[in-house]
Amino acid sequence: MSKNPLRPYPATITEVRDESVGIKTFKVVLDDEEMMKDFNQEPGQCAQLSIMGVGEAMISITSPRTRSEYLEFSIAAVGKLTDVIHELEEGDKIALRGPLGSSFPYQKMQGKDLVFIAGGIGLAPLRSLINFVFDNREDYGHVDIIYGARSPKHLCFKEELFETWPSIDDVDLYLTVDGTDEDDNWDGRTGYVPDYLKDVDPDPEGRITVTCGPPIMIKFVLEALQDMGFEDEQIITTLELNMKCGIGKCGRCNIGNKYICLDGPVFDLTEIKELPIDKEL
Amino acid sequence: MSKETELVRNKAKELLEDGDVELVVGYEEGTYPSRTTPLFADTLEKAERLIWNPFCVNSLPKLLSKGHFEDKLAVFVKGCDSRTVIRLLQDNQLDRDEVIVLGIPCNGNVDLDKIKDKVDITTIIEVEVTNNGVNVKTEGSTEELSREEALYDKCLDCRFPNPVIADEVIGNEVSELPKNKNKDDEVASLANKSVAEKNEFWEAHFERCLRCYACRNACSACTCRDCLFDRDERSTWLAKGKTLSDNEAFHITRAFHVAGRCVDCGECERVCPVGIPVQKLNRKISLDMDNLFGIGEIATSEDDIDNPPPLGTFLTEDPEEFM
Amino acid sequence: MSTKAIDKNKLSELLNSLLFKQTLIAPVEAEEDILLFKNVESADQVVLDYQNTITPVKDWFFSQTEELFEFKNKITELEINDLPATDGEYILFGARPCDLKSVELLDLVFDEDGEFSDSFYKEKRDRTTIIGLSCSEPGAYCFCNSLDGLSPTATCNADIMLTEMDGDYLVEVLTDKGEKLVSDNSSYFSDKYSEEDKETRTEEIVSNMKLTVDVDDIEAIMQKEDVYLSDYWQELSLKCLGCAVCTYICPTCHCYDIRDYSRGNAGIRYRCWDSCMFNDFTEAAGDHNPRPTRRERVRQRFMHKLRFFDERYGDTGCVGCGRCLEKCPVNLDITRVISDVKELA
Ligand code: SF4
Ligand code: SF4
Ligand code: SF4
Ligand code: SF4
Ligand code: SF4
Ligand code: FES
Repeated sequence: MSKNPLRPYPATITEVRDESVGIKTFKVVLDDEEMMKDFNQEPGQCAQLSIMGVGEAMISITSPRTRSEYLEFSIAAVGKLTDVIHELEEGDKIALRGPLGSSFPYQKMQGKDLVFIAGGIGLAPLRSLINFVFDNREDYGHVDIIYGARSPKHLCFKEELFETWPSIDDVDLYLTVDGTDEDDNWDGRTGYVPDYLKDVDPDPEGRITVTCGPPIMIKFVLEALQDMGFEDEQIITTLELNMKCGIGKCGRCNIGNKYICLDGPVFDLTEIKELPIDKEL
Repeated sequence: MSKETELVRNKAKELLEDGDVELVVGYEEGTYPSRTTPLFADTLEKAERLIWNPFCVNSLPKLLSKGHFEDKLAVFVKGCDSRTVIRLLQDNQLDRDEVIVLGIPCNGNVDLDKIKDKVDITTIIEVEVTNNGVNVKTEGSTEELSREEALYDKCLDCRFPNPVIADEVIGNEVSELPKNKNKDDEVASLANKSVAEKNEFWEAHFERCLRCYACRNACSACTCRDCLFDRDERSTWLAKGKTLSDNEAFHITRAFHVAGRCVDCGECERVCPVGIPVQKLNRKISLDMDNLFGIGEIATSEDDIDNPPPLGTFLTEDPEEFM
Repeated sequence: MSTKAIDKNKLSELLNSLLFKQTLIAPVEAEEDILLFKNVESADQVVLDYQNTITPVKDWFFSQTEELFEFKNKITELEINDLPATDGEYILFGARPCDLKSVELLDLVFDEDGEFSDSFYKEKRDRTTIIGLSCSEPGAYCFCNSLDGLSPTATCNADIMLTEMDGDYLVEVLTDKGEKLVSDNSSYFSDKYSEEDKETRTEEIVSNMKLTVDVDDIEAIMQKEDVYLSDYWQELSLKCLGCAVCTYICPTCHCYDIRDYSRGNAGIRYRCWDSCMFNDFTEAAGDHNPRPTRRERVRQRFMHKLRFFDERYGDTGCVGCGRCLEKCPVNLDITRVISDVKELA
């Protein structure tokens, strides 16, 4: 019998980090060493994480292939399954299948300047690409990272934001928060990501942009980028829908002739514009 | 064009023209003249497509209970459908001031599945239902069938052929219909069987259930916006999978949920694609409720609107704390 | 490949003899007028003159509920095991042309050779020999003949195809699997008919079709933005009950859900049919729903059948079996939708 495509494999959680408010990052290692070695995810791809008896969810892998001894997932507690995952500790078991879905076109991006634009937990999918780019630094040009969250406490990946990434050559980081609390001690910018993007005003020439975040942010970022003169092929983003099978068969994530789980989550704006979507959505 | 069709069209056009309503809900011809489909007529042009004949079987009021309609509308109802109107009013699913109920007395509806071996249903032109029988006129011939041979079982002992609520009645009132059958006897004889026999009977049926939920979605009693069967991801006792035990759990639960709210319209049984006699179960519970608590037929007159069924009612002064 | 004949009484002998070695799945009358494909124990149970079963043959290859694997789990221990694979050999007897065609379409979804080929579906496909049965009397709602490459006698992907003649069946042997079955049981078959006999018979049967619809250009028409955004879908959706009759009994619908049964520290993950007509099908966390009302859901079904499926797999997603229009509680009729949409464009 051929391989059961819906069967996940046992894995062990080797580290749990509090990432930000309601978000934790889990370091996960597949129990089968061979399988772990051959996992080979591309930046932007996802995996299905499951807790037996509870369910399964498609989660973006936030660690790059270049760090192949483990997989990392940053997960917000938003439902039954993710609530249970948040209870897990180092040494606990989880099940996993993948890699699934499309990846960022990192080959097409070689030699280009890059702008990463993210909001909240939307930095998680981009992080795999950002670290992949930094692990192959000479292949890519200048990197701008524009990132915002609801408040300083809501920023993810703080160590990378404030220490690792700024120390890398030819990188500019632009951080912003929607608002602050008194105890936040924030002397950075306050405001929304799309506005910051307009202020940074990157030149479309030789640049590719990658955006991920809450739908409303994506909407305004896409508008801003088009106003700045970026062509649709230079604008890359991810789509998110309710998913089950993750392999383009169960029909749940169908939009037009695409299955978001299989053909996505990564799309460029040309592809998105071809999808039949009600204007108001 | 039949006389009833003419009356229905004229009434609809009049209401639309006078601006009394924005929408008239009736039937139009479906795949064949003998197969009808609901029509939402909001223009005079569409009103010209309205029809009325013994194939107008759907209960239309249920289609209005979704809260989708903001404008004033009119709906055509048969006797059984009119009880659904009361039922929906009891649950605040309809706004009495926003709906004009147009009642049409009914002699019984023809069940295409029953007659399809006797006549070519694709060629039926006209059907006449009387107390004595059913005349089916096709392109080639006229077939005379008995009521038992041609009508839905539910029509064979219909007690409410005339609308129990209506702002206007179109057509002549029907005097009492013949009792061709007593459904309650069938229910009683099933109830009198041994536990093992009953089990066998229901298992054979429930095993086939597809869990398509057509019975629930067509039901006059089911008005919950957020039904527990849609929430089974959160429930641990009823799985979405189709197994005999989950199918049984579904049916038993639903039977209890419609207890005291079922108006015996038979829609659940009619819409079931795999022929499960769902209504037998619901009827049994209605009869038990009558025996135990003296709750007779519900939703039989306008008085019942403000007098909802006991099991569908919650009073803060109820002695039972739990409920 | 070759054309043969089998007598009517020999057919049930053949089925009974096949039953010894293989599992036979065939149309049976579960209840008056309720025809379903089931495992049969004797050829007497098999109904030959039925118009169409209520549930399609997809239920055999893609069961309504299918167990995917079993697990044992504690917080720090986890074991996941495939369930024992089936090792039987099966004969699916009596599939009508529309259902045969639907299996061709489901093959495109489940059985591709890609990385994610559906092992459950593929296993049953590989182990099943399909004996198709032409329709002698198309039903009132059948419109297969309106679709490309389909007719009440089309062989599609059957291994063997039977067409009722006067007193016997014309037998078309179409694949190696079919050839094997026929040569293993050669005493039941005789040489009598030719391809021309089949053509004559087909013409006769087709002339009895009641329902037709013109599907020309429907994909291109459905691709128009005006059609996608038309008020028509809203209007159509008013009468829809949002049940799953149309999709569960559709031979080409393949949507499913994945759920767990678990008791204590062990359980099973299974999948079961699901439907784009249910309101919670696409509902995501936080009550966000890309298809929030019946308008989007009704549109999705027809768009998927008549456009998206074709765009992705190169064939229309409807095989004209007529089940959905017959069984839909409100007779929401795909043939009517097709002609209405053509008017819109
Ligand atoms: S309509 Fe019939 S098949 Fe569908 S859920 Fe109800 S009883 Fe089951
Ligand atoms: S069967 Fe009919 S009523 Fe039910 S969901 Fe389908 S179209 Fe709607
Ligand atoms: S859409 Fe309807 S007619 Fe077409 S294949 Fe499905 S059930 Fe049959
Ligand atoms: S999306 Fe709807 S119409 Fe298409 S296969 Fe799935 S259930 Fe059927
Ligand atoms: S649609 Fe065609 S193939 Fe299918 S049952 Fe009807 S006549 Fe036969
Ligand atoms: S999640 Fe099943 S098709 Fe995409």
